[in-house]
Parts: sequence; structure tokens; C-alpha cells
Amino acid sequence: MHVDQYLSHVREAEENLGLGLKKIMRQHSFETDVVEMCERFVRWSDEHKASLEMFNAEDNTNEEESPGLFKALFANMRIGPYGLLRDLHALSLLIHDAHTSWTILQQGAMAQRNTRLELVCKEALAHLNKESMWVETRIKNAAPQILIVG
Amino acid sequence: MINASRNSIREIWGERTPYYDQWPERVDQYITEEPDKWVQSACVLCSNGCGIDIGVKDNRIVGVRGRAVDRINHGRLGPKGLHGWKANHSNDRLTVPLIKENGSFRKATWQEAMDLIVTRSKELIARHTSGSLAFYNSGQLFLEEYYTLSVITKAGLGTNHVDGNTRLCTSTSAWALKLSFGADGQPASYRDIDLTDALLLVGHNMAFTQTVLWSRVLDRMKGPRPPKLIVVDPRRTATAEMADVHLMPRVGTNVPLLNGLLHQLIEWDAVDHDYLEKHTVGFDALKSTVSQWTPELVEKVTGVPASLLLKAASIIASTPSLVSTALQGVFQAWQATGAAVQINNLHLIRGLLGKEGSGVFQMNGQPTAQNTRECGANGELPAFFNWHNEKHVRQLADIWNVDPSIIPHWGPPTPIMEIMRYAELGSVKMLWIAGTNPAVSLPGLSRIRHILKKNDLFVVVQDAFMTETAQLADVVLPTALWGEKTGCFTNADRTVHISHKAIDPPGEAKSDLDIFIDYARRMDLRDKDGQPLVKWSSPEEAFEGWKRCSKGRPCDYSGLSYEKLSQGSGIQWPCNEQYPDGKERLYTDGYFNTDYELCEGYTHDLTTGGAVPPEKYKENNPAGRAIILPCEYDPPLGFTDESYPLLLTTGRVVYHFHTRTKTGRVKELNDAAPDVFIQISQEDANEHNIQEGDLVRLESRFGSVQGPARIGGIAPGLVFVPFHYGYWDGEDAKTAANELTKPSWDPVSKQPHFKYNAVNLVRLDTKLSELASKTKDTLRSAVKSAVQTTKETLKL
Repeated sequence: MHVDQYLSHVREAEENLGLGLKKIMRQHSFETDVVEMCERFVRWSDEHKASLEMFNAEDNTNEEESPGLFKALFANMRIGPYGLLRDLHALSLLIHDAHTSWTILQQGAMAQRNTRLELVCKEALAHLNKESMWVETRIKNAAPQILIVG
Repeated sequence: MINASRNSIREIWGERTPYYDQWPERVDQYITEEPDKWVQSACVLCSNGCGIDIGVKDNRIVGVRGRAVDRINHGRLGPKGLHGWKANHSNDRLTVPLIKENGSFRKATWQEAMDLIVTRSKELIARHTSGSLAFYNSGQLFLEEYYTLSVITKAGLGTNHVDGNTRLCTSTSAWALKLSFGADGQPASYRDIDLTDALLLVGHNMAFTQTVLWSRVLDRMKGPRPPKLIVVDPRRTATAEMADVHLMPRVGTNVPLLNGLLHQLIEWDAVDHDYLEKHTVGFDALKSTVSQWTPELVEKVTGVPASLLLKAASIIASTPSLVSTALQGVFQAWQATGAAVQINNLHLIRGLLGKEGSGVFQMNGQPTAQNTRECGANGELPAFFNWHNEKHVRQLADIWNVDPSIIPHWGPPTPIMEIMRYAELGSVKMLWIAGTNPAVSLPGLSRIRHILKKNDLFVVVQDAFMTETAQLADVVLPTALWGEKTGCFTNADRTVHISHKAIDPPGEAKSDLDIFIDYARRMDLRDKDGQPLVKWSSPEEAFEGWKRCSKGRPCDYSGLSYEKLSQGSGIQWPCNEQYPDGKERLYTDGYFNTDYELCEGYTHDLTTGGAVPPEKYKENNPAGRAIILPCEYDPPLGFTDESYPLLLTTGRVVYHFHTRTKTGRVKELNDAAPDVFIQISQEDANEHNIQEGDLVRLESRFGSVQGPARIGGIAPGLVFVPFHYGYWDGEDAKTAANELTKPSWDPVSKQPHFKYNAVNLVRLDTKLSELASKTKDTLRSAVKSAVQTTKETLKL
């Protein structure tokens, strides 16, 4: 049984996502809509992590793996319009990672007949679907101007 | 000689003419001299579009009267309509082009001014592409002007940085209609107000925003079979005073309130299952989303007592017909689009749409806002073509005879706050502002002023007056006002009016249409065959061009003509071979514009604004059924805190329109509402030891405003400031409400959150303020005296 292990992966993914969101909020504080949306997603991410607490899984977080994705994607300070585009690109990968982690956990929960966990997964995935749609939309809106005019 | 049928300043709505079904005529008139002739027009001082005749004598407007024959007002006019025309003859009208040199304006010829604009445009396009050019226009130009601008920017220049100030007032309206019904366009008709059994006004102080429409409602309420009236507003407005049920939700909680109403209807099975089955998709998702919103939970979240919610729900559940309206209390509030769509949902689940006495008005704010949206001056493609649909782009390219690749369809149009951000970053390098005043009307004014002053931003302003924005321009072009040019516009119930030219514009001022055509010719914009892209030189020819573009689309104007519109009343669109006299209400057959190949746009998530990919929409093609989109409550992001504990909402007073560029120049209107005020609750007044009329200051994270306190009629914790007041008339204290507002907007409609800001309230020392006021007066008279002396000296 590796469900507990995936509970940890989900936590890690949400942790990474939260760090990425907060970094974007700091680095692009004048992009009001981005900051507000990231604030909303941080709130969701905190709710997701809190919702896992009831499952009391032992913490199998791999310290080396945990911050890896965030660090790899947000190693550099990126500012300005092009920096925003790159940061949103990085954020889309963190969202995708969280989405995949929750999806795997949801499949396990279904097979385990763990309806409580399944519901938690379903609610988190609903949020992540929205996050995914938003980041793709925002990237598409920003890309033409940034790439062509600067 | 003043010949007035009534005192509209004192009696805003006039005498009652009670009725059911046929609204009696009452001709309102105000003239200062006997006119030599009357010229047909419609009023441009709110979105109602009242038919009006302009009285003319010796090339001057000398008064107005309502057009009894017109379906919109049956002769009535409100205070702004009766008096606003006087602004045309203000002695501070702009009459010649101005070019700024070394920080000061100098008079210029049209040749010089246009050469400068064209040279700069061409240089920027050559170096940075047309993505460095942006255009910000209005909700007060004419249809022909919007459409011409649309052709120039989309088929000539190829920039999608085009927006109208409709972004600030009715962008959410357009989105709500598009998301639920497939395309923009109000489903209802004003005729429905004559027949309805119940009215639901959400965030809409109709008594102030459309005074003549409110007269119609008041007359219904005094007549036989009066409709029930439900008003949702956190303030005790003049509209709310008349309500059978007044719901006062906390700011930011429209969605839970509406979800509560929807839940209750479903709980009582007050649902038209047959209509839902045949004409809608998405009901199950709605049912699931609203299931938690019991009256008790609604009360906890919104502050609206459960008993009142149930009272309102029971009216909606049992009424055989219902007209609902929404305005800025929805459109400029938290979860704007989400809430507006839930109002559509109320009608869809009850099947009260497309029937006599039933329908929705996602109301307009400005007289010609509908045309800004229809003609593509809000950045979207004209005639509700879908920029995401390649077939639509090709169709439009064929109409304009251009290559489809020139038409911006690589992304959505850029909303004004994003245009401003691009300008701040130096990416947008030229901003052309037509007939609007962003230096007072956009949120976060200190930043907007900073952007407009930037040396690397070339700002062109075309306006009739030296507004706060014009003062910051590099080139100012003087324009004709209403009454000085011919054109058409469409009101909030799709009624198209013609407004004929009554007098000449002052000096060298030109119509916006002539300016745009001149720009297109000087830019040498051409079609695929090398012919001029803009193929017209008169308003009527432009209208014919628009008819070709709109033919076969939901907003079909092909059956209209200048001649037809000049015969009597305004006429509703669609007007075509099938409906030669216009169509009263939309969706009478339950067939909506949602088909993949027809719709104006695809679905978006209401919480984030994330776009649903076209292929997904196609997979679940609603194919003519209305889309029931649920919206979960998204609690407002933490904004108030110990430093800024109060919530600010902004809005209108009845005597002014927008930033008072016209109404502030009319003595009667200005005297009735000369200055800003700050409305607070009695509870907050007590806490701060504030009396009526005390000078107070509001502070936010973005700026401050000060003015006299007005106490009462508002919920504790909430503050109201009218948004009209700026600085063009020499006011030196901070009076513009948008000094306080946050540059934040709805994720779907991109409409700013003017009704959700955090502020702190400070009582200013009265004695000090009196002293300051006296000092100010003394200084003013000293300056006036010095100016007079200087003038006299110079004459000598």
C-alpha cells in the first residue's frame, strides 16, 4: 500500500505550489490580477493541505525531493513582462504536478473504497482544474504582447 | 423666457400617470426661447435613450422636449435630459486642435495635429508593430463612429489594444448575456415593464440611474395590477424606499444571496421542468452548487434575514411574470459576472424569458454602450463575431476585403487596465483617448496620472472640453457634441434611435467620425484590392457599412435606414426582412445563440476567468440551448483590516453623469449637486463623533478624499462616495472617489471592483476646516482679482 506515500507527495506538490504562488506575488506585485488570483490559489492550497490532516498519514516527505521542483523552476529572480511570462510558465508546471499527484491519490482512494479521501481529492482537483485553465488563459493573453512588442 | 412643463430638479420623476399595459403620454419640455425648428434626436445622458426633440434658433439650441411618439419615454424627460443640452454652449468648449510643447499647449491647425499623430503612428508601427498603439473610447459616441474605429483598428492597424469605458460600467452585462445566452443583447423589452407582475432590481438604483424608466415603474406601482418590487441594495436608496422587499446584503455577498434564492426555488420545485429540458443545459450542476445555501446560511454570510429572503423567494417562485435588472451593484462588485449570471439563471429555471412581461435587463449605464459592444469598440469583434472562431474571422475579413491574418484573433482584446499596465511598462507607446476621462474615472488615480504623464507615452485626446485627461495629452482634438453631428445609437432595450445634427459645432471642432476617417486616409489604410479601407465619408454611409456587417448576426440592423429611423419612434433590433419593424423581445422560441458556430464566445470559469477551450465547448455543444452556469461563493479576499476597517462603494447622484464634463457645466444641475459628500451610517458617525455636514476624510491604501459627511441610509461598516467629482473646475481638495479605489477587477468581465474597497474614516477638525475653507476663498478671490487686473492691464 503506497497511498500514505502519495499523501506525502500531494502535500509536497501543494507545498511547492504555494511557494511558487507566493514568489510570483512578490516578484510581480504590480500585476494586480495575477497577485489577486495567486492569493486565491494560496488560500485553496492551504485548504487542500488542511483537508489531508484528517487522514493522519505518517509524513514520508522526502526532504531532498520536496523543495526540488519549486527550486528548479523558480531558481532565478524574474521580473518584468518577460519574467512574468516565464514565471507563469513555471507555475503551470507546479499546477500540473499538483493535479497529477491528486489524480493518482484519487485513483488509489477509489480502489481503497475510501470515500472520504475520494471526496477530498475531488474537491482539490476541481480547484486545480480552475487553476490550470486560468494559468493557460493568462499565458495566452500575455504572450503576444511580450514576445512581439516587449 | 423660460417655458418649462415642470421643475425636474425638484420633482425628479414628475407627476404620476398610473397605468397598466399602455403607458400614457406626458410631454416634458424646457425651452429658453421659442425655437425656429425642432430636430429629432434622443437623449445621451443615461442608458435609457429617451426620444427627444432639439429646439433650435439661430444655430443655437434653445431647449428640448420629449417625443411623445417614442416607445421609450412616451414624451417624458428627466432632469439631465431637460437641462444637459446647455453644456453645448459652454464658453470653455474646445474649438481648435492643441499641441503640447515644452509643457504648454499651443493652438495648431488640423493639418499639423493630424500630421503629428500620423507620423508618430507610422514610426511606432515600423519600430514596434501596431501592438504599441492603443485606443480607449467611450460609451457616448455614435454607432457610426464606433464601427469606423473598429474597422481602422482591426482591419487597418491590426491591434487588439482597443477598449471602451464601457469596461467600467457594462462589461459584465455583455459577459453575462454572452455566457448564458450565447451572445450579447438584452432579452427583454421595456414593454415588459408595462405588463409584468414582479420586478427584481439587483444593485440597481433605477430612481437615480434611469429616471424616466423609474417613472414608468412608479406609474405601474400606482396603477391597477401593480407589480411586486424586490430591491437588492446595501443602501436605503430612493429605489429601495419603494420596495415590497428590500434585501441589504453585505458588500461582496451577491452570489450567496442569489444562490439562496435559486436554492429556495428548487427546494419548492418552483421550476419549469419542461422549459429546462427543452431549452437549457447545466441545471443539475446548478442544483448541486446551490444546495448548501439554506436561508440560515445565507443569513449568516450575507446578513440578510432568512425571513426576508424567503419573502423575496416566494414572490419570485409564484409570480407568473418577472422582469429583473442588474446594474453597478452587481457589475462593479465582488464576483460580478458570477452574480449577474445567477440572475439569468433565476429566469431560466422558472422559464420566464421571451414571454410578455418577463425578461432580463443586464442593464447598460451609458447611452451608447450597447453600440460600443456591438461595433467592436470594446475590443471584441463587431456584430458579436467570435474572435476564437476561425470561420467568423474569415467572414469578417471577407466583409472588409482584407486578409484574415490582419484581424487580431491571437488573443482576447486588451482591457483598459491592462492597456494602462502596458503603457506603464513602456510596451504601449501611443494611447488615443476619445470622449472619456480616465484621469477621473479609472481606479487608482495617482497611478493613472503618473502613466498618462510618462514621457515615452504619446497621448492623443479628442474631446469637447479640456478635461483632466486632456490636460495630460500631447495632442488635443476638439470634437462636436451631441446635437452637432448626426448618428445612431441603441439603448438598453435594443431600441435604435437616430440623432440628427441640429447646430454646427463651435470653431473648428469636428465629429469623432470625421476625425477617424481623416486618420484612416492619412494613414493610407487600404483593403486587399488597394482601395481605401474605410469606404465612407458620411454618417449615413457608415451606417450602411454597419448594416452589411451585422446582417445575419444576432444584432441584425439590415432592415433599418436613416429614413426609417427618422419617421417616429426608435426601432428595436433585430430589424431585418423577418422583423421589418424590429423584434420586441429575444428568445421567444427558446432558441438561444449558443451554437458552437454561432455564439459570440465560449464558456469561462466564473471564479478565475479561465477560458474553456473551444474543442471542449464543441464536445458539449449547447446547440441553441441556454447555458445554466453555476457559481460557487468565493469569499472576498482579505482587504479590510485594522487600518482600513470600512468598505467603500462608489456610485451616482441623480443630477450628474460620469465626470460632470457636461452636467457640471449646467447651472441647474450643478447647483443641485455641487460637491462631493461622504455617506456613512449613524453607527459609524456615532463611533467617530461625526455630525451631519462635518468635514471628514476617507483614506485608503491608494489615496484620500475629503468632503462633508452625510449620515444615514447605509449599512454600518459601509461608506458611499459619488464618483462624479474631479478637478477640472478648479477644486483643489481631493474629491475624486477613484483616488481611493484599488486597481482590481472581475476575472471574467475585467470590470473594476469600484464597489469593493477598504477605507479609514477620519473626522477633520471643524474649526480648522472652516479656517481652511475661508483661507481658500480669500486666496481664490485674490487670484481672480489678480487675473482681472492683468487682463485689464494687457488690454491697455
